This record gives sequence, structure tokens and C-alpha cells, in this order.
Amino acid sequence: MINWSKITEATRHYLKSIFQPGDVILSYTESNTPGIMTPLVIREAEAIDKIILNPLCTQNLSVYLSEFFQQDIQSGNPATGKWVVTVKPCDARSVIQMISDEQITKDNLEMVVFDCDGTVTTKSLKNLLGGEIRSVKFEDHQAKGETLANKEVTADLVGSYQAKCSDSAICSLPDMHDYSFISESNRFVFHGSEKENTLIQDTLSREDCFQRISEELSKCIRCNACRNVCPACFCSDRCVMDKPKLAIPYITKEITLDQIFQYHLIRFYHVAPNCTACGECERACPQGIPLSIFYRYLHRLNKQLFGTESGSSDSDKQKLLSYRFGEDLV
Amino acid sequence: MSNQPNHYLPSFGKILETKQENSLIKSFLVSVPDTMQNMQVLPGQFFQLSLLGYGEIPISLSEYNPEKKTYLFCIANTGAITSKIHQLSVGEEIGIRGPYGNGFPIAALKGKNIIVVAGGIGLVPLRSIIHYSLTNPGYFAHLEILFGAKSTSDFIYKEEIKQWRLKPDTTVKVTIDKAEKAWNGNVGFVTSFLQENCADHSEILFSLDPSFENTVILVVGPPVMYKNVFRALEKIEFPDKKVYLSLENHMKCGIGKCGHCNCGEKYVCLDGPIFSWLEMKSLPKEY
Amino acid sequence: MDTNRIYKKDMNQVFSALKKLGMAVIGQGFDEKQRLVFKEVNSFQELALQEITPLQPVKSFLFPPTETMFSYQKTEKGTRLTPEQEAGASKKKILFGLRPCDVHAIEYIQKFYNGNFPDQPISHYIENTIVVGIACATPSNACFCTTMGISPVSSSGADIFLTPTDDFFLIEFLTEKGKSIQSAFAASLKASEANDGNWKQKIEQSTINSLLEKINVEAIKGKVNQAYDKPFWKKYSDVCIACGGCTFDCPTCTCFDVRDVMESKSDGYRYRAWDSCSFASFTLHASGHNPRNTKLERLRQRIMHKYHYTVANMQTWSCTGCGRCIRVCPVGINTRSILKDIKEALHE
Repeated sequence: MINWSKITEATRHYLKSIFQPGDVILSYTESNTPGIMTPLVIREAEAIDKIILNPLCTQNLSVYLSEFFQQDIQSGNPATGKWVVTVKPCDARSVIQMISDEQITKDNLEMVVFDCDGTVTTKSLKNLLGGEIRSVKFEDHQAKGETLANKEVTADLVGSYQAKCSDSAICSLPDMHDYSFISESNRFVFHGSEKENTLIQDTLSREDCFQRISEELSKCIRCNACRNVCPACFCSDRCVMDKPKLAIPYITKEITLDQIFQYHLIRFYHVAPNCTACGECERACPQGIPLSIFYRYLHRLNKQLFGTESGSSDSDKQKLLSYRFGEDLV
Repeated sequence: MSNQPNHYLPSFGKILETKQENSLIKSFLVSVPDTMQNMQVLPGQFFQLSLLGYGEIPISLSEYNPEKKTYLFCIANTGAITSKIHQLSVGEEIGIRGPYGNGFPIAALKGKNIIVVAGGIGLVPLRSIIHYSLTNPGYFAHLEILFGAKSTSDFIYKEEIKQWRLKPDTTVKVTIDKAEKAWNGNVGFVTSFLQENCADHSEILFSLDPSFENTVILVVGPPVMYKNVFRALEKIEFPDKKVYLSLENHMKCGIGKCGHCNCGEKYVCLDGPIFSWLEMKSLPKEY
Repeated sequence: MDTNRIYKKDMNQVFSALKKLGMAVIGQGFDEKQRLVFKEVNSFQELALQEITPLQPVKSFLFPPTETMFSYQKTEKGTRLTPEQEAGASKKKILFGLRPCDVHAIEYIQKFYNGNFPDQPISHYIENTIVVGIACATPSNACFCTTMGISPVSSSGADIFLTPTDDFFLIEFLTEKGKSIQSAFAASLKASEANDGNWKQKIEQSTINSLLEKINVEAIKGKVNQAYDKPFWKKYSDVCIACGGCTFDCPTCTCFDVRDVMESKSDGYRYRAWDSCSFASFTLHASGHNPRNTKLERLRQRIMHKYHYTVANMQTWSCTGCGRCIRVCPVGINTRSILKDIKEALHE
């Protein structure tokens, strides 16, 4: 069981010891919206005390790294110091994968992984606490909230964590030596329970599965939030779905089922090698489409078919993204 | 309410003639669609031209001839849609919606000395005000056309310029950026005409109306040219509310709904594309 | 203005009568995955009016996320255009149980799309839509309608207005459109009683007490653009991921993109789709130049447009305080915080 205040304290302490003027730290703090944390960009040592870590730290901070690195390159004004990012073990894998994909470099980057036993989305938290809340605090495994009607409610978080938290393929430290791990026990332990790991693809026939997938995806309004929040989608402003489609007239922005399928299929195949199944796509979707069903499945397929796991190594290339002369066909 | 007109539906005109003005710009003489026969068009307004299947682009009107029922559009081959439009031939149809935009403030220009400062392709929309002067002789006190092109091969409207020189109360000064062997005319940016020390400087600014009281300047050209023109005008302290320019912008609907041309409180398709220099200064810095 | 009572147990009768009039009833309820959405309902029980308002914006019933504008055929005799619209545009519908924030949003959308060159397709949707407003007794923790000058019990803009109590609604028929369907309610209308006038006030007070805060934005009305160059924007644009969620879920965001599709050498169509000023491609010129090249400029544009440019042009905020932008933001950006930062920067 994680003691979040201790983890927060230890992380702050560590960051203060390594911070140099010119460095930029990416971490979390409280937002003005009850039930969600917000990323924090720190450029002065005094601001380190604003860092708060708790089960609401759902955002995958790696998504900012490629953008900030690109700004560095584009502006011709590289950050004078190093980039320091505080991440959960699952998100550490996204950082490692980005290094493997050569979107960011290891030089000038320090990764600080903090121990975590599960994160919970704003929606789950509100369901747990029975509705809208004014504020929430965390103690051990409990969330203590104050409702809009000024009533106090308490609920246990166990069983309400994000689905990825019970998947040991996602919640595991990457294979990299030079990062710091902040934890009370100094060693990583998987806190989830594997039995919650069945996906619809495991239980339904191909036809029924396709039917289910069509139903889920039919809610899509093509807002692109899933793509924009994804650290594996690094084409950013140059995405094929955005460019004027004079050359490719069959890609449109329409919400007909075939166009929706096309968008999502293109995304599935493009990120299959480097998606670490962080689940941010599902959390960001304004329509509540359970996208992690697909991405967790792809993540699993990657291992089954190619023996590789995205986010494990910063130097090995993903099989789907590399080719060596003479290698055996898969 | 549903018998309201649907402003998103284009009408169709036929291409009657085409003419390659220079390597980049091609003129299209298009028949006015029946549905648009009696529409008044002000100089400086634009139309949304559709090449169905490819898209729609805003193009300033160069000339409207109500007797012959023709529109003249001069289109530069700069992008995916314009390059396809350049491939159209006589007899083919083109979608037209409009006229949109505010146009030049014609009423306020009556009896004034007008200086038209055109940088390259900027002469295209300014042609509409020159045409107005030709078809309404005496409306302006004097018309001075200052046209700068990169080189002689970038000239457009060569025949028309010859005609303009012959009109009463009209002067034309032309310049190219760099000297060329067969060229005996002015060399330098078009802003040099606005500088007192230039041998061929603007007559209106420095001889006909040195107090600027009765003079209005209309400028259209690439963004870098605007910077230089403003600098030159600031030097001689020309009032900013008497300078008008045409702002190009990314547009989609042309009628102030899609939001793409929104800049500050203005919509380029509704409050522009003609803005005074004074108005421009109040727009957000991004423009 | 007459106010009657209508008991919740009689509402199914009303719904059947509305159906007989050929009207579809749309209101908030749970879908098969327990997500709160606006959906077509056949019975009163399918509604979940006691919940907060759905994240889905109500504008999708007046302007779907994508919509074909016309199809074309190039023939020897010339080009033939066929205006097109979704079948839903002609469907007579009742939006049943919209909060004052959402009713106000429809008023704004109507005013916006009707200005200058009226948007005929959207007018078509609107003329076939009747709005039944409801006083809001269950706000979310993101709501800030009172900040934007809207009372949670305001009936302005509604054709019919309901005030909910445990067993019944108080009902007012406010416009000609509303009265045109009064017959469906007639059989179930009961006389109101002496203290019924107090219900609205009670709900208003309770809801206002639940709101996290009320910010005095009148103090910055007309001056918001003075905050253009202030340093606080970076705080938000650093963490914004430009997902577009705020614009897609905002009931008063009206921007769209227009695209052509070529189906064959001679046939094709033109469609429009919701677009977002948060996206880099929104202002991207064909030349490659982008006036709003950075996230900061785009985030600031959104706020400036909602809280200043529409005030200058239409004399109204284009924000109803519904809180959806705050609820959907995956990184916890809070629009109310931005408003407070603007106030602080302007010393108001």
C-alpha cells in the first residue's frame, strides 16, 4: 500500500537535490477542478513544493516531452539545463519508447519514476463518492470527499482503479538503468490483480466482436482527442488525417461508420508498435468510448506475435518499425 | 424560414476566355450566372470560387462588366486547388458564391486623389478600383497607379497598363526589383515612389497634394511589402486612416460563420478584406 | 402567464400524446453503457433529469458533427447541385429538460447563425425544434452559470418551462411554439397551488449554494483584450494538449470546416464538420504560414473569442457557464481560473 504523502515528500526532496537553474521539471499539482490533477511545469526551485502526487495523477506526462523537445529544436534555443520528468511506472514505458523511436534523446533528460499502486479517473471517483464533489483527499486506500451539499463521503479505491493498473504487462518498470525510483521499499512491486485482464476479444466470436467494436466506435465524433493526447502519435501537426485530402479523397472527417473505422484503424496500425497502453485515449474521449479495449489488445498482440513489448528498451527497435537485411520474416 | 436562400450553394458560370498573364497568374473571364445578374459588386469584394470535388477558394474580383455580364478573375497558381483551376479550359463551369466582403469605401473616395500601390499580385484586386475609375470618369480627382513587380517576366495586365496610361487624370509608374538588360524604366521597390528623394516619386504625394488632405492610398501586396510601405508612410507622416489595404486570409465559408478568418473582433470575410491601416493596428499582433 | 402543475406519474400520457403529434422527444438519460447522454426517449422513465447535464453538447441536435451540404453531378448540360441535409433536420423534435445554460446556448447559436448571411440548414433544424427548459437543481462542480449572468432557474429562451419538485413539475407555456403542443399536456394539467410560486426561488437558492464560486466578470466585460500580453497564459498553454475537447463539447462553439469529396470524375459532395480553433490546422494558410503558430496563441484566441470578441460584436458572452470545458479537459485546465487570472491581471 502506497503512502502518497510520503511519496510526494520523497519526490520533492529528491528533485530539490538535483535541480539546477535552467532545468525544467514536469510533474503534477492540484488543479482548480476537484477530482483531477493538473501537470505542472517547474522552472524555479521554489515551485517544487507545489508538487502533489496522488491516485488522481492520471496524465501521461511523456506526451509533453516530444513537444517540448521539438520546440527546443525549432526555436534554436535549447533548454539550458536538463528536462526532468516525474512519471508512474506505466508512463515511464512511454518515455522509454519515445527514446527508442528517436523522438527525444536521453541526453539532458532525467526520468524520476515514483511508486504507484493505482490511479483512478475523475469519473470513477465521482461514481465512488456518489456524485459531484467540492474537494477530495486521499489517505491510504481511501478517498475522502466533500459533496456539493457539504456532506462528507468516504470510499475505498480498491477495485476502482483504471483497468491498466491490474495488467502487469503495462504496470512494470522498463528495462533501463539510469533513472531514479522513488518508493518506500526501494523496489518495484506489482500491486494489481491479474484476473481482471480479459478483453472483449477474448470472450466474443469474431463476428460478435466486430459488432461490439462497431457499436462502441459509432459514438465517435472525430474530435481527435484520442490522437492529440497520445504520446505514441507523434506526427502531431502533420497527421495524415488532417492534411487537405486532394490526393487522398477517401479520407474525410465525416462521422459515417466507414470513416470512423478508417480513422481508428489507421491509428491502431500506426501506434501498434509503440503504444504502451497508458489508457489516456480512453480517458480523454468526450464520448466515453472504451478505447483501451483496443490498445491493450494491440499491446498484447505485439508480445504474442513479435516477442517485443513497447516501452521495455530505449535502444531496441520495435519489430514493426525496423527491418534488417536477411532477418527471418515474421 | 426554410424558404430562406441557402448561402452555401454555389451558382455556376462558364469560362469564356482565359489568358496567361505571367508564369503564375492566369485570368479567367467567366459568365455571370443567371441568379447573380442583378447583384451589385463593389471594387475590392471577393467571390468564393468552387472547383467541385477539390474545394473552394476566395478570389478578389478584378472586373465586373454588367453589360457583357462577365466577371474577370485572376488566379495565382499557388496551391492544390488553384493548380487544378489553372487546368480548366474554355467552356468548363466554375462554382461562384458572392460577392462577399466590404469592398473599398467607394462613397468616401469620391473626388479624392487615389494612389494605388500594387506589389506584384496585389494589382489583381486593385484592378477593380482602376476599372471603376475608367467606367466612372471624373469620380476620382486623380488616379495614380504605382506598380512594382519582381521582374519583367512577372508583369501582368501589360495591355491594360498601356490603356491606363492614356486615360485623363491617370498616371502610371512601374518598377522592377532588379535591373535587367532590356529595361529602361524604374528599378527598385514600389515603396521608392513614396519617397521624396526618388526621381520618379509619387506626383500626388509630393506635387499635386503635398498636404495629403485630399489623398487616399490603396495598397495591396505581399506582407513584407506592407511593412515597407508603412515605414515609408510613417516617415512622411501620412495619416493612417487614409490608407486602405486588402488582407488575405485563410477562409472557408466566406460569410462569417465558420470562424476561420476571425482575427480579433473582425472577420476578414465580413469586415474586410479591405481594412484601413488604422483598423489593422487594432488587430491582434498575430496578424 | 399561467402556471400549472403536471404530475410525474402523468408524464407518460404526455409522451404518448407528443408521439401522436409526430414529435420525437429527446432528453438526458443513460445509454447501454451507463453513460449520461442526450437521447431519444419513449417514456418518462428513460429520462434521468435528476443527474447533472450530459457532457455531450446540445448543439449536436441543431448542427450535427458532420453534415453533407450538397451533392453534385457534372453533366453535359452543366453542373447539377442537390442540396442535402440529414433526415433529422426535418424531424419535429422536443428537447425536453434543458437547463438554462443549455437553453441560453441555443439562443446564442440561433443569434449567431442568423446574423449577416443566415445559415439556412441550421434554421431548418431550429424551426423543427421545441425547447422545454427545466430549472436546474443539480449542478456539477464545474458549473458557473451565475458567473455568466444566467440564473439556474431562468426560463428565457425556452418555449415551455418546467420547475421540478419531488412529485410534479410546474409548467409554463411561454411562446407560440410552446403553446402549439399544449394539447399534448392538456389532459394532465392540474391547477397550481398557493405556495407554488416559491419553488423556483428554493431551487435557485439551493443550486447557488452548491456552486463552487461566482466570479464578478462584469468588471472585465469589454476589457478582456487588455490581458492579451499578460504572462499567465503560458501556465495554461504549457499543459494544454490541444485535444479539442473543450471546443467540441462547448454548446456555443460554432466553428466548422468545409471539405469536398470526389466520388467519381463527375460526382461528389461537399460536407462541413465541427472544427476547433485549438487545432494548428485551423489558421494554416496554403502557403504554409500560420498566424497562430503556437498553442499559447490558440488557447488565448479561444478565450478572447468567447469573452471579448463576441461581446464586442454581438453584445453577449459566448459562454453560458455550463462547465463542460472544465469537465472534459483531460489535464485539468479550468476556465474559471483563466477568468480569475484575467481579472487579477487587469486589477479588477
